[in-house]
Amino acid sequence: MMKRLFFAEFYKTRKICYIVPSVSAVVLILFTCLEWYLYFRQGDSGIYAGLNIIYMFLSFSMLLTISLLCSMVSETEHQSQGLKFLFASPVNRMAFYFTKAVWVILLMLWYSILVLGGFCLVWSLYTNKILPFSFLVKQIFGCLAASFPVLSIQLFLSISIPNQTLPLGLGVTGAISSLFLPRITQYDVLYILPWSYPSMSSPFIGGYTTWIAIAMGSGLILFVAGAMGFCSLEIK
Amino acid sequence: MSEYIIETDGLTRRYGQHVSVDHINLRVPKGKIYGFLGANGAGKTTTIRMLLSLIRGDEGSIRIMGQSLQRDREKILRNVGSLVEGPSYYGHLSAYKNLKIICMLLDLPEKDIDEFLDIVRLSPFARQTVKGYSLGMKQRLGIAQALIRRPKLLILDEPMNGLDPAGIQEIRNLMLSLCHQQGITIFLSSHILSEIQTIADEIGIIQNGRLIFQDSIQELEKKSTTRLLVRIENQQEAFRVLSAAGADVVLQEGELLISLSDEIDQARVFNILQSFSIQHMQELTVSLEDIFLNLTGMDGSL
Repeated sequence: MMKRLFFAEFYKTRKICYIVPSVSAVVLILFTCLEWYLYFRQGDSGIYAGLNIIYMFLSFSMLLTISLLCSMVSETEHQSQGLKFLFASPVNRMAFYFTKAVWVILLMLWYSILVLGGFCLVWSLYTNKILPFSFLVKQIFGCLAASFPVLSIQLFLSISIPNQTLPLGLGVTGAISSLFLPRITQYDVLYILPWSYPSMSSPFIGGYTTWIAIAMGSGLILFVAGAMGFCSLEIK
Repeated sequence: MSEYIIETDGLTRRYGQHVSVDHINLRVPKGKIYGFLGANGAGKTTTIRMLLSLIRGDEGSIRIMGQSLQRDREKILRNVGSLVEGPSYYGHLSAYKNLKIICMLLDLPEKDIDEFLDIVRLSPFARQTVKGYSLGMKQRLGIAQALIRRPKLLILDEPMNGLDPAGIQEIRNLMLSLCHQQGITIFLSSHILSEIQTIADEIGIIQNGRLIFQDSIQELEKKSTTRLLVRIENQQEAFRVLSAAGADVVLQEGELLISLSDEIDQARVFNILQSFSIQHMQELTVSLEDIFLNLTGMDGSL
């Protein structure tokens, strides 16, 4: 069933779903380069300051891309009234929901590989200094793993609500808040919000692996809750 | 084994205080076309949504092909094709690809696609994106989607919507052939009486969420009483004589309207009125629409 659902998902996915993560990755790379060139180039850290800039904007870019992708893969079903057809067919609802999540994760993996590859390319073209490859890998894929709770929330909202204004609004707000939440030191309690996990899961932060583990755990709980909510959904 | 393919017992659905479907007991016989008739808002689509497990009932049970829908949902739906309130389709894909997705999902042979596109006359447009299709073409695609899994039961909610007269005729013939040649049971909802009258073997009438009639069309027609319209001199006296003989008679606008029954048949009326000078006599036939309006208290919007 999963394999069939997956191929069907591949068939019906709009081209824009492949374009969005690609464009998003390119914009992040270009923006980071521009930011570094304009403001950080002459600093003490030199080229390595680029890693700080990635840290600043990666979570925003990643959460925004996740929100867009969740809305787009769900919108395909809402526009076509596909949920009505699927729910009236012998298709396992849990498997269907799981396939959607896997599809978004795969597209986000593509985004992460593009970001990683793009930075490696820019780095190798610009400087001969040693590329901190493992740091970059931890930075990008740690952020991706820590985005799992937000993905679970966005996917559930996008697929449950036909009007995408609310899920997208929450997605954009969450992505913007990820820029600030980890930097608010007065209210530590804000760190428990899922939107703060991607920024907290950077190798720049001490104990970042704990945050990745917390994010994965809470993401799994939210995902299972979302899947159960989806299974009990009524198609009006 | 039950002779019914769909059986519901006390099926009820409420939306807040409003009871949309009120304890209905459907009995849909196998291998027949069952017309589910009701005015707009009577509860037809809500019932169909429950039959397809799109929504849950608040009370009652549903058995399809002898199995509980709640327990064996996926097993049952494997043999059920449906079209509810318009077709579901991916507009950015062609009709062929839409059907291909269904074949992938339900593990059906892809070679069947052309056959079903042909059945619904969409073969010439099979490679065009569906968003450019007319309403009728989309409806036909919906029917192909319902048929491609070769179901034992077809549940169609107002399938003629958006079709032109030729399309309606074609789909009607298709349903008849599916039922009579392939033995597929068809559960067909509509608010258009003539649509049901021409093809259904059995009929169910729903009014304000209640199933007020369920039997064959012949049984429904029996519910009608043939009436005689008589123009006669001295109507007041004729009215008195007929009433005294036990006839159900109404005097309106100078004419007598007599309901015929086993006791008061046409010959008996002639006998009673032989001393009167009859100017005009006409037998009034009652259409299914009249019967329907009569049953539903004439308050249904058709």
